[in-house]
Amino acid sequence: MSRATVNFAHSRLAAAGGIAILLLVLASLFAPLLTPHDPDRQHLDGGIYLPPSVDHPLGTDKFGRDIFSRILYGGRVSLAIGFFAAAMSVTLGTLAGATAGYFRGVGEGVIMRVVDVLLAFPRLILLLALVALFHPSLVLLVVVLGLTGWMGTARIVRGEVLSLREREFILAGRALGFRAPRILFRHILPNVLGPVIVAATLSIGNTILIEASLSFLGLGVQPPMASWGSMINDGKEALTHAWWIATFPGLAVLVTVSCFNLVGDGMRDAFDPRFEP
Amino acid sequence: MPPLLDIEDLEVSFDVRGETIHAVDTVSLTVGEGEVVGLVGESGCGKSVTTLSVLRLLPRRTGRITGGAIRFGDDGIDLLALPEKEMNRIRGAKISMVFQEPMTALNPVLTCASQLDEVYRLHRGWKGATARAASIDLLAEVGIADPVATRRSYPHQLSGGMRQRVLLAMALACRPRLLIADEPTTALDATIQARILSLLSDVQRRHRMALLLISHDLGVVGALADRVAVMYAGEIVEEGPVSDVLVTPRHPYTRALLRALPVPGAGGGGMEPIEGNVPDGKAAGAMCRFAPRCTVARSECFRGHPVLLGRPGGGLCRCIPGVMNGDRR
Ligand SMILES: Nc1ncnc2c1ncn2[C@@H]1O[C@H](COP(=O)(O)OP(=O)(O)OP(=O)(O)O)[C@@H](O)[C@H]1O
Ligand code: SF4
Ligand SMILES: [Mg+2]
Repeated sequence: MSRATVNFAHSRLAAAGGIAILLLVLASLFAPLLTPHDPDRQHLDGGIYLPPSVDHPLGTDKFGRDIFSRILYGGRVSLAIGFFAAAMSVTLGTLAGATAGYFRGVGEGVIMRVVDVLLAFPRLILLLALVALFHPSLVLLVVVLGLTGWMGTARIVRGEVLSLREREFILAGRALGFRAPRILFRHILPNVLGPVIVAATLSIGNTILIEASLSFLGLGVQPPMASWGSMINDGKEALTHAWWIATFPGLAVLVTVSCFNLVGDGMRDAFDPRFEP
Repeated sequence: MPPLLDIEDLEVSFDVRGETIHAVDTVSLTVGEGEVVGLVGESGCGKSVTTLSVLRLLPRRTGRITGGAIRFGDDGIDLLALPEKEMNRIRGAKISMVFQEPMTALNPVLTCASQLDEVYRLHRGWKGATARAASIDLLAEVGIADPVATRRSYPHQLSGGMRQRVLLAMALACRPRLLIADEPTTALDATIQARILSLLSDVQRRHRMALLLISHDLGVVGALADRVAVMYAGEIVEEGPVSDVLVTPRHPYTRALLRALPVPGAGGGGMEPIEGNVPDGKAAGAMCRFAPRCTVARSECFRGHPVLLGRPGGGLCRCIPGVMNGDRR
């Protein structure tokens, strides 16, 4: 583990990404301290379509709302959806993959066929279909994103568990009378933690991107609540004369997703078994 | 009184890609209370499969026990008929096992402390300070100089010999009546090997614990065991008191094994490798399984499968009587 930490620290890019994520999270949490404007407060009389200025560093939109404030507050929504949906999909994926890999048999066949089938659909199409069936809400978004994102983790975890279950310490544990659930949860899963954390990190970034796509299509976060995706949607008609409305939330998505990917890749290198002692 | 462990006519086969491999064929073996029994034979002859069967730890998907009984304890319950839940009360508590590879037999992400305490929690219900104190005593008993520091260590921080001691401690935690040691020192270097073996012998005597010791090193078995069983191609070919089997072996295979031993002081001399490979016994059909490699084979050796018969000096031998009584080494 200590070697892994060292490798991770050496990857400066990953470290920079981690710091950027931390700043983003802090900024959106402490948004009221960073901006004097209410993100939903409209200024229809002369405050609309204002370009970036000292008072509105990123300009205002067609209702005269401050873009900077909306990015900070919208960040809460985007980050929270990304975090909770990723947590759900990684938990589901870990349980499914571990069950398939450890108990094998019919269950494994069923789980892995479901994975194959779900992976054969483009995720966005699947999401659109699911979201269209119900009344859009934050909880629905998280659940739907979680339900469509677990397959990659399941594959990774199953692979890891398949090789771990053949290791001698598992046989030794069975010889000591440990029952299957104990072996799986206490002896196998902690050994899979590295790949799972990597998958979770990459999954947060990916989920934020997909949430932005859904909200851009109007099927995600519903007004007046803002997420980065719905802000891009708001700004798309005004792109020619008020470029700042869509561009800055777009940049926020780009930077955030890149940072999560950098951290995820950095951790993947750090947990690489070739570097393990 | 019945023997502590009584393996009777055990048959184990593996199904690998549609083919059936008969790994163990009608093996009978007993281990008495407090007795040390050695199980020897070349690689692949079925030693590990036999002992894994005792704890029912064969690979679930491929390995199958197709016949026999394994009786254990004073009331001679058949382990093969026991529900899995009951079996888990025996594993690690009444019968323990140590394995060949100390480097991989400990969980790399858990400290020795949590792995040791887990055994106590499971079988004794001890927690916290009780488990801690017991495991410190235990580590001291297996010759670990600084038990407190060792408890805190992760496996990769310990040497092979230390890890084998920790594993032995875990196996001994609940004072099992039978310890199965499957090549416990093969992976260690020679000096450590000797220390672990004398430790094993010590704890065995101190606790009057029965020991089933697997090894392909006849020297090790000669030093520790009361009785020895020699396996070849899935069956027992000779069995009896160590002092007799290793001094005046009756079976040509046992003799060949002894000739393959390095002679002390001869600088690696004396070793005569046995020509040929171990076959799948049952596939050989009605003939002596060792016949293709046996230097004293006769034509009748290829015509019938010899049975185990009483040997002079006690024990059993599976060789056509005329042959084994003639031809001395
Ligand atoms: N998991 C398995 N799948 C298929 N066949 C197996 C398996 N394990 C053992 N066997 C078969 O059983 C035979 C006996 O194997 P076993 O491991 O008992 O040998 P051994 O006497 O312990 O040898 P070694 O000294 O190498 O440990 C092997 O020749 C092999 O054909
Ligand atoms: S029966 Fe024949 S072939 Fe088999 S061990 Fe005896 S002498 Fe050799
Ligand atoms: Mg073996």
